[in-house]
Amino acid sequence: MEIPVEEVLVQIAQVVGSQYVLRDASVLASYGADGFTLENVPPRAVILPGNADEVAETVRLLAGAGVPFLARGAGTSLSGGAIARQGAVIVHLSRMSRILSVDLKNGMVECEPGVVNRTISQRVAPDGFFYAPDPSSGQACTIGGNVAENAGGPHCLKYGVTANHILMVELVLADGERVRVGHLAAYPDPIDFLGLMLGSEGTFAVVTRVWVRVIRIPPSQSTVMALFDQVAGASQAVSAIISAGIIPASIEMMDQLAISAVEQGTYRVGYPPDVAAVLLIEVDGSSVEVQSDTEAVLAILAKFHPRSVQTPHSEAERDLWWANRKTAFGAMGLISPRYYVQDGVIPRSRLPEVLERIAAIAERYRIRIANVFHAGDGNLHPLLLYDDRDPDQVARVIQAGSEVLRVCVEVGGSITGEHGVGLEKLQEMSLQFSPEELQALRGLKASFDPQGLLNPGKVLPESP
Amino acid sequence: MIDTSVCVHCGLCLPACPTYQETGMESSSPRGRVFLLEAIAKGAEPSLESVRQIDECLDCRACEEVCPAHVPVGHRVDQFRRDHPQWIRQSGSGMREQRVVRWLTTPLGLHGFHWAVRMSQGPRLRRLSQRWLPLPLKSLSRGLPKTMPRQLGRARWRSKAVSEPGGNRLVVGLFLGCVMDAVFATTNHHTADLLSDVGCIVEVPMSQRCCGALSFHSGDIEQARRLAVANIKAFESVAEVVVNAAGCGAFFKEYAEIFAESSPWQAPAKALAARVVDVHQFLDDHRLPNLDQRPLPEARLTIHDACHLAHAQGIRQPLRDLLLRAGYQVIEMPEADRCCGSAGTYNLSHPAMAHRLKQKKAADVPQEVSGVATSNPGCMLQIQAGLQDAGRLQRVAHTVDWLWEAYHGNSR
Repeated sequence: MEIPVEEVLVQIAQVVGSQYVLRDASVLASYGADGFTLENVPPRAVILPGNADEVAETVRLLAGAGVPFLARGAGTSLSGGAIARQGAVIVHLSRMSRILSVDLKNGMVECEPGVVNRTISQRVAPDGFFYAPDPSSGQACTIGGNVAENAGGPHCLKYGVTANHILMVELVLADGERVRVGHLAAYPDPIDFLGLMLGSEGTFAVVTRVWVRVIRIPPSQSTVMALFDQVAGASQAVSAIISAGIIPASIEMMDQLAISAVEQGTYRVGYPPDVAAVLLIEVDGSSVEVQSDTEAVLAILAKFHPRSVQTPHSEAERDLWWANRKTAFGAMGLISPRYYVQDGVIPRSRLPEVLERIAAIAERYRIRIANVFHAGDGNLHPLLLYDDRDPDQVARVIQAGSEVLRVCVEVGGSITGEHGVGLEKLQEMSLQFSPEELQALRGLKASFDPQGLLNPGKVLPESP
Repeated sequence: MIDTSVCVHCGLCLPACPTYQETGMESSSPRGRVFLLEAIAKGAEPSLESVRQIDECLDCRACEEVCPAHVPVGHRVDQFRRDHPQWIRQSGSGMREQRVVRWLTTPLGLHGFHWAVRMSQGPRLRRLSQRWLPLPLKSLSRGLPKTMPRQLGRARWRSKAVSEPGGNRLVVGLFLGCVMDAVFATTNHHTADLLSDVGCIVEVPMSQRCCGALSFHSGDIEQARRLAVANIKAFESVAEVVVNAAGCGAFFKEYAEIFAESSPWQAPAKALAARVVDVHQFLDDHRLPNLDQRPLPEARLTIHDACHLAHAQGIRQPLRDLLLRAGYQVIEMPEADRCCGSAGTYNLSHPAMAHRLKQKKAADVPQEVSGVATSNPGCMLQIQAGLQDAGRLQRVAHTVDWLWEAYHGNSR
């Protein structure tokens, strides 16, 4: 049946205002991709609702006509989560970007879905609070997208990921009904609907409001930078720190190729070009705790023969180290036209071995792979560099990416840590889940979205 | 062709973009504009709507500053405007002002403009102009200062001396600007005074012209080159060229980019760019005396960071340090470096978006301050107009003016 999209869009224009329904083909081209650039599909239309009522009405109208749709925030997804497949319409929540209330007595901030991650911390910082999950794209990515993808970040090693910091969420279900799941008092439901929604990648519902937990900024912190001449030394040091029972706020690692990109970028630390790997380790807590942890970390690092170990001279220098690390993906453009980032997770003890295997994969497929990752929780981010004008190279990169994930699953890990499955890892889902498990997941999806309209072509591979 | 291929579409630029903040549309974000420009470069015929969205770029450079790979989106849009004037015209904005700019950037035109503006400040004409001027100009004219002294260009022409020669003092050239000298000549006088205070001999070469930024950004590269050559010659003999208008300073520093690689003016343009110093940087480096022990009455200011100072030249802290040393208290406004919508001639070519940004900026000025310090004539006009529209009484002045009042004014 031909879907009467035109008619529905006219009705929606009456709800949201005609200037907020984008139809122009060349304008829609700008919505063809997100942070994942291997696929580019312009949406059928883009709708920009201004509030939750308009979202609900938009969804009701789209669902009534059987038009598939997906919610989009800042479009920083690295797994293609915000790309419109199967003729879907994008519901862009960028206009809903207000912080609605701040309740620090209860450590809570109420946000519209388009609120940028970092602005939450900026808002409560003067009162000594912060919002812990800090994806590297935090300067741009939105809280709605963070909920959808269950986003992580460098400091999630100690503080946990998005799911650990969301108290309650308001959603518009596939038929336009508005519901709230979770509780401000943070007690668990007998059936954890909130947990189901977190990380469902927009395939169950559209997020229209989020109540996040904010916590006290730790009184003390210390950052250590260690440079290594061998990748193996750096990764062994990471394993050793974790197995010593220390839980730093974060342990980040970058290899030589990654360093060469960020050192041409906007935030230059001045890493020596010939260094094989850098570790950024941050510990926080009470000053006594920080002091003893820092000493322990320094003692462990020394065992693995770092070239040098240092702490920042100022707050500004620490910020620079982090800005350098957090903009590493974007800086890849300086050494390669495109990159394809993988997101596998492995047991930390296997880090040295897996990094070697990834290097071997790069060699076999004749591509360059840069590594920038959350070493502390074993969340790898191999960046497979490629030139999109070379179809053969694109094919090799996709295969190499898949092989990296196979290695992660083989050593007892998973295919995604924080970027989500999106459209990117559909095939690899069957590496991790049995056909029966996948069928059960499809059943779950159908119970929320019987028509299969929400973010089509994502997360779950078509049933065979 | 300026390269955008280093853009990997990470999207970190989005929240920095004032037009994206306003519309929420990917197509009016820096990354969206890169997508649209890439599609056009590959041969796609753009719709007028997408040309309009590209052209809505303020060239404020906020995205370039936050981009991990410094993708020059603003530069690229500027080039698109120069390459496709017909599309810009059809989309209903942009090039209309080119003729005005060409006239404005001649010395005669500038004097005419100065006198026209000066006359229009008389009460009768002011009332008349409020009735007859087109809307964007009407609002802007409310941002004009009430009294205007002679242009420094004219004064120097008559007296030949701005400061007394002698000793081993550093000789600096003072760049006057066009709008700056026509409307805010006071600021130029004040700049000369402060430069003398820190021990410089100030030269004001009479053959200097408009920096050329307005011509360049409105698509007239030939005129921009002519003006650049005039300025290169005019400032040949001075060690440093002090510039007090952020837009001009940023453009000077990019002079080499407007000449072809093979042009004989390429090297002289680079040489001049290297000698250009922003006035805040200069005064901060050459140390005005510390007055912070004697706080000024009515001393609370907020700062609007001009785009072409903060984003294009990376200068933020010197303004704050200078004002603090002069005894002011600085109360920061939110997003002080978000564009006010003035953006060269943008407020004439894109009045609707400029108006929204002007209102937003005025609303961000804290109630408890007595004034706003900024560094570009366009911003001064725009923010003053915005405050006026909102019925607010705060005065907007150049940082240099506030400093001059602290060091030379009657309040001490």
